Amino acid sequence: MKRCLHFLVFFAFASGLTASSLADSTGPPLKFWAVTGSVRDVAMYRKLAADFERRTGIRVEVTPLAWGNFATKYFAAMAAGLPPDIGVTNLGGPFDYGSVGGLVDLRAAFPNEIAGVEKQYPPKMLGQYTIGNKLYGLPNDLSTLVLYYRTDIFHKLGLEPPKTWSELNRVIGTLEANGYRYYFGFTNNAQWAIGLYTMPYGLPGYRFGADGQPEVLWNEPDYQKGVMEALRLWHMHDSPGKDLGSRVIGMFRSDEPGIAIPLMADIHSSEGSIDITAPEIAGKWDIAPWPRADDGKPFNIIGGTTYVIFRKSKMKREAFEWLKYLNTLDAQRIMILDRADRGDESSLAISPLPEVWGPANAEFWNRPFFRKHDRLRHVVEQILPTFETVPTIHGSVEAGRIEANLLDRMGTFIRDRLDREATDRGISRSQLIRQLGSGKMEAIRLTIEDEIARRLKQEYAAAAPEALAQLRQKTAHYAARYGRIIDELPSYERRWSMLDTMKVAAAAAIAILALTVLAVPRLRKHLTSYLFVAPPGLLAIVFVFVPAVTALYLSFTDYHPVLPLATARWVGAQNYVEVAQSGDLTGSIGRTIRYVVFTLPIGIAISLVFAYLLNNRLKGERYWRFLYFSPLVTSVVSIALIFSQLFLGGPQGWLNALLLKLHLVRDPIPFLTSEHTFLDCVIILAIWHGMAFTILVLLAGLQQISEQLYEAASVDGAGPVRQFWHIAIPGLRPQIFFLAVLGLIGGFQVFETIYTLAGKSGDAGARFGPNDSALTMVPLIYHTGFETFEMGKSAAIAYVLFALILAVTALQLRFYRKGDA
Amino acid sequence: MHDGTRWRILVYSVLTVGALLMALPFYYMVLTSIKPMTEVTQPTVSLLVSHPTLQPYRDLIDAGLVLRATWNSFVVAVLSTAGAMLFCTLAGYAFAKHRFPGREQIFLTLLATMMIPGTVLLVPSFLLFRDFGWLDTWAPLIVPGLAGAFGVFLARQFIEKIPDSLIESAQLEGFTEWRIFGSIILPLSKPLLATLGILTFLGSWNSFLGPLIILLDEKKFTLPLVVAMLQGRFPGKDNMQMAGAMVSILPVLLLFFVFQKQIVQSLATSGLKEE
Repeated sequence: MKRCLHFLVFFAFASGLTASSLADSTGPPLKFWAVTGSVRDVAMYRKLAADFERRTGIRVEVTPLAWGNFATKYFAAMAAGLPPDIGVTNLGGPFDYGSVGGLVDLRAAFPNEIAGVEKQYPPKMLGQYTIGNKLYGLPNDLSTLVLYYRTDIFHKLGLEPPKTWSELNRVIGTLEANGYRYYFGFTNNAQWAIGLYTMPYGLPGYRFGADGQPEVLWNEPDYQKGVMEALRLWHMHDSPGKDLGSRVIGMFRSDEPGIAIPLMADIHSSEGSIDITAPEIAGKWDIAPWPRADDGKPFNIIGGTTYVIFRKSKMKREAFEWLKYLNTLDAQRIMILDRADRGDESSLAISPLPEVWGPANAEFWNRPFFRKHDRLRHVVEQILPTFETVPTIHGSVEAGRIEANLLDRMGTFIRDRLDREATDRGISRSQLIRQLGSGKMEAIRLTIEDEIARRLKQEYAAAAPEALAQLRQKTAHYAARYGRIIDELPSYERRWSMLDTMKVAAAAAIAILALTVLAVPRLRKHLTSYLFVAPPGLLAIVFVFVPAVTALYLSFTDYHPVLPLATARWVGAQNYVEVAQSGDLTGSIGRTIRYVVFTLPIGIAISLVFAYLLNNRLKGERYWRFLYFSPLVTSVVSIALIFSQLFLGGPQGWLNALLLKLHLVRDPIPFLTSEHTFLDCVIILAIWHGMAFTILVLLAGLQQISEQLYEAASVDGAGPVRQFWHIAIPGLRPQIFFLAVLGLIGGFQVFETIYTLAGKSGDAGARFGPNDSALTMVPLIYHTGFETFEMGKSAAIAYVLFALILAVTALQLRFYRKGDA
Repeated sequence: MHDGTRWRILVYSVLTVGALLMALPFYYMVLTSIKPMTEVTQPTVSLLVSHPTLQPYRDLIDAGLVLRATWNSFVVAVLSTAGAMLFCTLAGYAFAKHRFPGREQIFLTLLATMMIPGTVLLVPSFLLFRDFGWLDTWAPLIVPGLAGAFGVFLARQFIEKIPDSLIESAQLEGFTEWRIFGSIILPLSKPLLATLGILTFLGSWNSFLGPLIILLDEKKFTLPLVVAMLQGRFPGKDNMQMAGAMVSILPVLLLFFVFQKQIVQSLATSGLKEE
């Protein structure tokens, strides 16, 4: 007892320390969140913050966000009512957050100064950040793709850095014909960057037409011409995967045909890591700007970041001062210098302010430091004034997902087609690609490309109406629902919501129960008992029943979590109907069933064998137990992280290396990037992780089976295998049933493994598996609730899941009881 | 049971293969976590590392996430466990040994809550915690689990087996219920407390989806969140990611190795996996 007390005191003290370290010591600082791929950006912003504090006395607190899940974090923060004061987010952020009333309209909030700030940017740059006449964001910096190439290998092959798309393809072809490969990194297979290929023809995927209604431009021949180029570069070459990060440098530095990758297309900020990781090739490589379309206008910008100020901020004025400060030439120079001087993360920061690139700043650029960026710099100077963005349309998230899945399917189509061609000729895919590159198989190449183009046309023709419907529906929905609400948000925040009703009801119920117990003498006698069972009871009421009923209510409403709950509107069964009709629900149920059907039986079968074997008296039992049962205590997330590397799609992935070594496959399998194999990887992981618990339960069950049964069987001449079939398995019926029920309930709710294997924390465009191949029910609930923010639909799907689980469990029970009789 | 030598050879060889398969991911993790970047970027596979280094761990600690997250997870888990051990046992005792009106109904209602999958409660819990002002704090990770229905169920099963006579004699001597609980029930419930403790601790330590939705401030993150974050924070830096996985797994594995027997027994009797 005394020891417990000591421990608790120590613990309270330690927790208090923790809590206080998280609280503010002096007045509230300006909360600044910055999405960034580099921890050094934090140091850079802190440097700027220190300078800013010297000038203004305002303290800025800098928090980094990862590119993988920044959007979710911002939305969660807004939904929680706890956003930062000012943040850096993607180009789409101002629209996405502004359209739900999460942001400050800069024009309305700072009418006297905003015109001056806007003039700092090129005239057409701000289109994407406006809704109607409201301005929700300002650009921070921009990103572009560049080509990194080995000058020595190019020289050897007589190649020049390509300036147009056709030159690029010819260069890659020559490289491949000579046994080299090329790597396409950042924006490989990224739907959100498809504009790089279609904007040279002046065509975004969708825009507002002349009649003010959304229109989809996917069926324009020039649009598809651009997309074909993208598909060509992404899928028709032997690129060893995408997002390899610094792993690819090992191949860039190599000289051997078969391994070497003398050409990489990647984001402009990768250059520093090459210097540091591969110093031996210094002087043997260079950078070239991204080539232009042969017949289109130059278009080079793929993305970037923006500043946004949040409506719930209590320091809006200070936030704006910080923003203005960051836009001064001094601050810009500091940022550029800092980014260019980062060892293995050095890069050229692309400021959106023409002033930075203009003659007024020429002296700054004339340092030997920036010599190697000269070519890139000149390109930016040319591109920047013409860089334009178009206003975003509601529903573009859904339309983007449709196109992303389409591009995934095209990728699979191309891969399969090339595989078929290669198999027909009895060669591997890489050999085929090399031959295509050499120019000796022009006729075949044209045939294949023709097939691809025709398939692409079909896909877009089928997908465009769906996307258009989404755009129209969401635009209309927004106009009808949110347009007015956004302006009246403060009043909605004060209104009574359903949750308030639930809370009052719960409190009333608890009060009534308490009073009844106290008042009625028959019950009063047992006061202590009621007190003992009160904690679980209260917790159950507040944290299970109230949410469960609220979820049921929500499932019949239309509600966006960033808005106050009072804005939820009753829509009857519409959520259920929409979700059933959209195919998302049936698709996810199908995938969930497929997952369970494979994981459970195989897992239990394998575990049966191992449990039976482990049931012998073994030497070193402690170690066997440790090895087999370790997964019991480790988090699935950590295991999934390990497996995501084991499943790497290139020859460095251990699984691929093994398969290649055993000559079971000719080319490495893109496990996690192909829709054919992704769900299977999830299943393998689930079986591996689940074996520990399954074996445990089965082993415990086996140990209860009487020795005599085995002995009698031995006497009858039955060997271990027959004893397994006729004694062990029947004797384990209760355990197997128990595992089946639990396994089903758990399997239906699988989430962590899929989330981690799909790399959702790392990749902004990631879905739950390529082409949503692992979008099972809980991921769908998460996606609907926390990615497209349709909380009503999310709750509806959750209740469908609940019903399914109940039904299946009931079925299992009946099946089991029947077996007993 | 089966003693033939052929059988034993078969058993050991199959088990060895199985053990290798089970150990492989852990081996990969350890190996990769001590590889320098130059070896990580090698396009070939090697089962050994030529120039092992602890730099990935140093970089990871410099980034300042993992150690704090480990402490956070520990605080949350300990608080949850202490609470669960106390409240579940208390309620279990009442359900097992007291007779009071509505006992079975209340118990069944509690059990019913176990039927509702956590997924259903996800969205409205978020809204509820928002109203309470509990978002971005650890309260939602600790409070709701303080007296889980499953723990109460386990406790009741266990305490039922304690002989009534012990309790009756204490009552005759005028002990209050609280005293009976403290000096008789608790000391006799060590296996139950161990089971409850281990299950709650593991469940809290490994929980992911809840913290993912509740926590915003990185400084408050628990370990699984940080591990998931490693992919985005250090893309392509396999060694750092694996170092992170190591740090998240190692403490639990060590504890497991030492307390194997108890843990395995608890999990076997509980028959429920916390996911």
